Amino acid sequence: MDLARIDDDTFELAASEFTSRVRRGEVPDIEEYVSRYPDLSDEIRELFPTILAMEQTKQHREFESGGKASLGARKIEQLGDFRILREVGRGGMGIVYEAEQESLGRHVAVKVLPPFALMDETHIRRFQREAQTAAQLHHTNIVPVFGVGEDDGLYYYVMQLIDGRGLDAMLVDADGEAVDPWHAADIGRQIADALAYAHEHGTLHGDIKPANLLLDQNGTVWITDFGLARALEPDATVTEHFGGTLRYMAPERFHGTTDARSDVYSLGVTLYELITGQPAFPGTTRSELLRQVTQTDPVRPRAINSRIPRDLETIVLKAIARDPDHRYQSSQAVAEDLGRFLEGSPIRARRVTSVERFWRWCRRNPALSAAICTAVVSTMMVAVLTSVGYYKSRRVNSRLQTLNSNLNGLNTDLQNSLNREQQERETAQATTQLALDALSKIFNRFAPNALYVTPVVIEDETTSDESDYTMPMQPALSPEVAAALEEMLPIYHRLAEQRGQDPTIREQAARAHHRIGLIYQQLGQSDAARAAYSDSIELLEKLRKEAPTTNVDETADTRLLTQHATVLNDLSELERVSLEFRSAEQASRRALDLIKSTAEETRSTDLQYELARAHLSLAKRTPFWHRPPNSGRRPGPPGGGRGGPNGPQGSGSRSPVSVASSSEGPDGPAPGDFQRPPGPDFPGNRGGRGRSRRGDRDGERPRDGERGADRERGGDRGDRRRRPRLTERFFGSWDDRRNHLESAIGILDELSQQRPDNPQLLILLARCYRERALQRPDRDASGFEDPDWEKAVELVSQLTNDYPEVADYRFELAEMYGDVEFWRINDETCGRRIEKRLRTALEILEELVAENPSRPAFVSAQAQMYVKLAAVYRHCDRDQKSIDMLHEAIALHQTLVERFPNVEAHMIWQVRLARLVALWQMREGNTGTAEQTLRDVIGATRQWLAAIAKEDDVSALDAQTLAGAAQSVNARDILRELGDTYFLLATLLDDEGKSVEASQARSVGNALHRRSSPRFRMPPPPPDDRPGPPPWMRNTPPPPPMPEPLASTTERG
Amino acid sequence: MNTPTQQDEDPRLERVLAGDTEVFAEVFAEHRDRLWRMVHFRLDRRLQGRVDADDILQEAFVDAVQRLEHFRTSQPMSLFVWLRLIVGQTLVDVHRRHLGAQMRDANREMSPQQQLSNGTSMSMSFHLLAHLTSPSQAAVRAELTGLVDEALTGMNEIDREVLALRHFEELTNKEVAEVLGIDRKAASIRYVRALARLKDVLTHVPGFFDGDERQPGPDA
Repeated sequence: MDLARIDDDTFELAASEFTSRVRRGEVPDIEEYVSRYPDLSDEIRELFPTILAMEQTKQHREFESGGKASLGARKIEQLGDFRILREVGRGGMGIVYEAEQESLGRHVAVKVLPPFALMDETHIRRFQREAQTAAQLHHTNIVPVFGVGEDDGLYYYVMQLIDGRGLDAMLVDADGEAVDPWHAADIGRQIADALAYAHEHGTLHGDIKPANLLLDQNGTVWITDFGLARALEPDATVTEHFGGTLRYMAPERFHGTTDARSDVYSLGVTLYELITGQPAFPGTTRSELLRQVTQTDPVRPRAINSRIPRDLETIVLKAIARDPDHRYQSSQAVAEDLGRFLEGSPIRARRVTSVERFWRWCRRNPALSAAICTAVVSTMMVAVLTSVGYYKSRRVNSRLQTLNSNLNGLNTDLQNSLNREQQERETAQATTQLALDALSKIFNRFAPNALYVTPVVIEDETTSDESDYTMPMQPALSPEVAAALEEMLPIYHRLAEQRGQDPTIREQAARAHHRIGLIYQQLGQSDAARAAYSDSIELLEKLRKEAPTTNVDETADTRLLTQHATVLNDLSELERVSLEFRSAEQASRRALDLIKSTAEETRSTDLQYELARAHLSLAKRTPFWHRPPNSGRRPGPPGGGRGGPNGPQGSGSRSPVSVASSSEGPDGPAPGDFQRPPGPDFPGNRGGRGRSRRGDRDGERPRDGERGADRERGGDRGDRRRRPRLTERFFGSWDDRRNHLESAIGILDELSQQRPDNPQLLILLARCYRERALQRPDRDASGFEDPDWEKAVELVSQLTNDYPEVADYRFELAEMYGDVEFWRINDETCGRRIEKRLRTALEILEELVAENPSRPAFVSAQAQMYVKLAAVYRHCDRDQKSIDMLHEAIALHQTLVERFPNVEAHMIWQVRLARLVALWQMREGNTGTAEQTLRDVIGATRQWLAAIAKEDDVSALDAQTLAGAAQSVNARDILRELGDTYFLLATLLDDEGKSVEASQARSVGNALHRRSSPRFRMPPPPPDDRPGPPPWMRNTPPPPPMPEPLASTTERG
Repeated sequence: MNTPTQQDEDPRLERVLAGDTEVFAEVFAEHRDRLWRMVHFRLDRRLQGRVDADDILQEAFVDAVQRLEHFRTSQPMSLFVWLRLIVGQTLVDVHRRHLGAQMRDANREMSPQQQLSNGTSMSMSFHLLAHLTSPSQAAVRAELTGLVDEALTGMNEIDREVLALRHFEELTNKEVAEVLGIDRKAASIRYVRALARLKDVLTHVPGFFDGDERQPGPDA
C-alpha cells in the first residue's frame, strides 16, 4: 500500500463516511466508494472489508457483554402491539421482557433479538419460518410460541409468559448442591418427552441447556426458545455467550452435523449438571471448552455424588456418549428409560463395561498425557501383579501411590473388574488370560501392529463385542507411550515364568517387542527401535527352535515364521532409513531365505506378502554415494551398484575400485567430496530420521544383522574371495534388482486378485510401481506420463479416497509426489513439473501435520520437501526463493528439535541445513552472514550437547570435554556434524583472511573428528589435500541431505 | 498536538465550566454511548457479568462533576477526551477494587492510558475472533486465537490502540490524535497501516473474508 497517497484526507473522509453508514445499520456497497474515489480504489478494496469486519465484530461483542444481551443505549417501551412492562431475563439470544399485548389485554413474554442477528432477507425468512414451525408445537412441556414481529429494526418473538424459573438460575442458587436424583430424572423425562414430540414433528431444538428450561410452581418443565436456535444459527447462537452454549453442545456439531441425537446429548449434559451439581465440562474459556467437549469424557457422576443411583448414571452416560451411535437413538428412548428408572423397573441401557469404557477412552485419547498413561499402565500392573500373587511386594505399594487421582473411577473399575473376574473364575489360568487380554488391548490401542495402519481386524483380538475394531486406527504416538509400554514388557516375561515358560505368552511378548519397535521407529528413535526388533527376533528364533519339542500346535510354527519375517522386514526398513544399507540388505535377505525355506504352496497370504516386501527391499536402489562402513575411506564416490540409466552396470561392480568410477548418475560425473543429492532413498523420504545413533544396548549384544552375516560367512562359502562377493551381496547387481522387483510385483498382483480390497497389498504394489518408474532407463525426472508412476499414484489416491481418515495413506501419497528426482532437471518444463509435485506433496503434508501433531515423521517429511524445493529453485536460479525454502525447513526442524530434544537426528539435520544455508550465503558473497549462520548453529549445537550431557556452562566447554560429553550420551554423529561445521567455518574464515581464528576452528574440528564414531571410521577430511571443488565445498559431510544441484557449478579435480 | 476547538463549537462549554451540572449532564449523555463502548471494551473479562457498564458510567459522572476544576486546568483538552480520561480512571479504580493487589502491583507505574491500552491486544483478538460464527468456524477460531494475538501483539502498540479507538470506541481521527498525543496526519497514517496489517492477518483466517453472507467482499 502506498501510504504516501493516504497523505491527504480523502481516504480518511471516505472511510469515516463508510464507517458511520455501517454504524447506522447499512451495509454500504464498497464498489460505490471505488467509483466515487477512483484514485483510492486499491486502498478501498483492500481496507474497507476490514473496517466492516471491525464494526461488525464490535456490534456482536457489544450485544453480549458478559454473556448477557444488552441493547446498548436503547431503551424499549413499546414494540408494536406490545407494551414492555419489565425485563424478566437476559439470555444469549436476546432480552426477555414481560409485556402486555394491548389488543388482547394479556401478558406475554417478548424476546427481543440482537439488532444484528437478522441482517438480511435470508435470515429474516428463516427466522419467520422457524417461528411458524415452532408455533405448530403443542405440548405440555413446550412454551407456546404466539408469533414474531418487527418494530423499528428490532425483531422479537412472542411467547406465553411462564411463571417459572430457569434451571440455570436454580443451579446457581443450589451453588454446587446436586438436585435430588429422582427429581432430576423427572425433569429429564419431561424434557425428553417434549423433545420426542418435537422431533416427531420434524423440529429440532438445537440449544437445550438449563437457561432454556423453565420450571414452574407445579413442577412442570417448559422448554423455551424452540425454533430460535436454529433460526439464528449459525450467526448468533454460537457467537454470543459461547461459554454457556458450547458447554451443552454436542461434539458432532463442531463438524457441522446435527440431528435428534444432538438434542439427546444436550439433554444428557443438562441432566448431568442437575444430578452432580456441576457442569459436565468445567472449562471457562472457549478453547478449553471446545477441547473438553470434543476430546474428553466427563467424570462419572457417581464419582462426584455417590447418592446417584447406578441406573441413572448409566442413562446419563449413555445420553452423553461422544459418538452419536453410542447414544440413545431417540429422545423417546431416553424418556422411556427415565420412566423405567422412576418406576423402579430395569432400564434398557446396558452398562458400558469398564474394559469397554477404557477402550473407548483410549480411542478418543490418542494423545495421552504422560501422567495418565503411566497411571493406567501402573494400574494394569497393579492389577496383574496383585492377581498373580505379587501383592505384597513393595513395588506394588509404590506403584499404587503413583496412581493418578483423576483416574480413580477408571482404575477402581479396572481393578474391580479384574478382581471380580478372578473370583468368578478362581483359577490362575483365567486370571493370567485376563491380564494378557488387557495387555493386548492396551498394545492394540497404543502400539501400531504395522507401520502402515490398515483396516484389518487385529488378529489377536480376543473379545469381540466391539464391532469397530475393524476400523483403521491411528496409532497413538508419543515417547511417553512407548516408554510406558516398554515398562509393561516385564509383565509378559513374568507371566510366562508363572506358566512355565509358556510359549504362547512368550510369543505375545515377541509381538509386543515388535510393536514397541514400530513405535520407536515412528518416533525416529532408531536405536531403541532396533533394540526392540532384535529382542523380538531373538525371542522368535528361540521359540521356533523350541517349537518342535514344546508345542504340538502345528500352526504355531507358521505363525512364528510369518512374524519372524515381518520383524525382519521391518528391521530392514529401519536400517534403510538409517542409511545402514548393508544391514538392511542383510535383514531382507534373511527374510527372503526364511520364507523361501517353506514350500510355496503352503505359504499363507501374509507370508507371501512378506516375501514381496523382502523382494521389494532388495530391488531398491542403494544410493550411489553410500559408503560401505567397513571398507574404509574410498577415493571417490563410493558404494553403489546403482546402475546408470544407460545400462546395467552392476556387473562392473565386482571390484570396489571400479564401482567408484562407474557409479555416476545419469547426468554427468558426480562432484568430488561434495556428494550428489541422494536418491529417493535418503532418509528424508521416510521421515527424515537421519542417521541413527547407536544405543548402549547395542554394545552388549551383537546386532542380529551382523550375527546373520557371520553365520553366512562361517558357512561353506567362507573361504571364497570375499570382496566381490560382498559387494554383490550387499549391493546387488542391476539385474538382481530388476528380478526382485518383478518378483515382488508378480506376487502382489496375484495376492491382490485374491484380496482386491486389502490396502496393505495395494500400498506395497504402488511402491513397487514407484520403484520401477524410478528405475526406468529413459524416465522423465518429474515422472511425467510415466505409466508406472501414474499407476502408483492412482492406487494410493484411491486408498486415500476410500479411507480419508487414515493418515498413513495420505502420507504415502505425499511421499509418492515428493519422491521425485529433483536434481535431474533437464529444462524449465521439467522443473515446473517437479515443483508442482513437491508442492502437492507439501499440501498433503501440511494437512497431515495439522491433524497429527504427534507424528514427527510428517513434520520431518515436510521439511524435506522444502529442502527439495530449495534445490529446484536453486537450479532455476531463483536464489532468494531457494533460501526462503531452506529457512522454512530449518524452522520446521527447529520445532522438532524443541519437541524431541533427545532425538539426535533432528539436531543433525538442523546443523546440516544451516551449513547449506551458509554455503549459499558464501556463494553470494555474504561471508559475514554466512559466518554468523555457522556460529549460530555451532552455538545451538553446543547448547544441545550441553543439555543432553547435563552440563551447565556451555561456553566453557572445550572440544575435548564437549566430545567427552557427547560420547557419554552416545551422540557421536552430531559430533562429526559439529566438526564438519567447524571445518566449514575455518574455510570461511580463511577466505575472510582471519587465519588465526580459522586455525582455531580447524583444530576444534579436528579434535571433534578424531572422536568420531568408530563405526563409520570416518577420518576428518584433510582440508587441503585435494584440488578441485571450490574451497567452501570441501568439508561438507558425506551423507548429504543437501539436494544441491551442484552439477552446474562444480567439477571434480 | 493539535489544538482542539471543541470550546468554540459548543457554546454550552462555558456553562459547564461555570459549574452548571445540568448542562454537564446533558453533554455527558451525548457522549454516553461512546463512553459506554469504551468501558465495555476495556473492562477486564474477569469483571464482565460482575460489573455493569452503566454503573461505572454513573460513578464516572459523579467523579467528573467533582473534578470539573481539573478540566478547567486541562485546557485545551476537548471535553470528550477529558471525559474519556475520567471514565478511564474510574475504570482503573474499579479494576483495582475488584481484582485487588495483583493488578495494582503490575500497573502502579503506568498512567491510566497505559493501563488501559495494556489489555488492548487480548481484548481485541477476542473481539475479532468472536466474529467467526459457525461451530466449525468456532473450532477454527480456537486454533487461530493465538495467531491473531500474535499479529496484534506484533503490531506497534500505537497502531493497535488506534484500531481499538477508531472502531471499538468510535473515536474520530481527531480525537484519536488527541488521546494519543500525536499529529492528526500521523494518526491517520497509522490507522491505515494498522488496517492493512490486520487485513493481512485476517486473510489467513478461513471464512473471515469469505463465507459470511453479510460480508460483502471487495467485489460485492
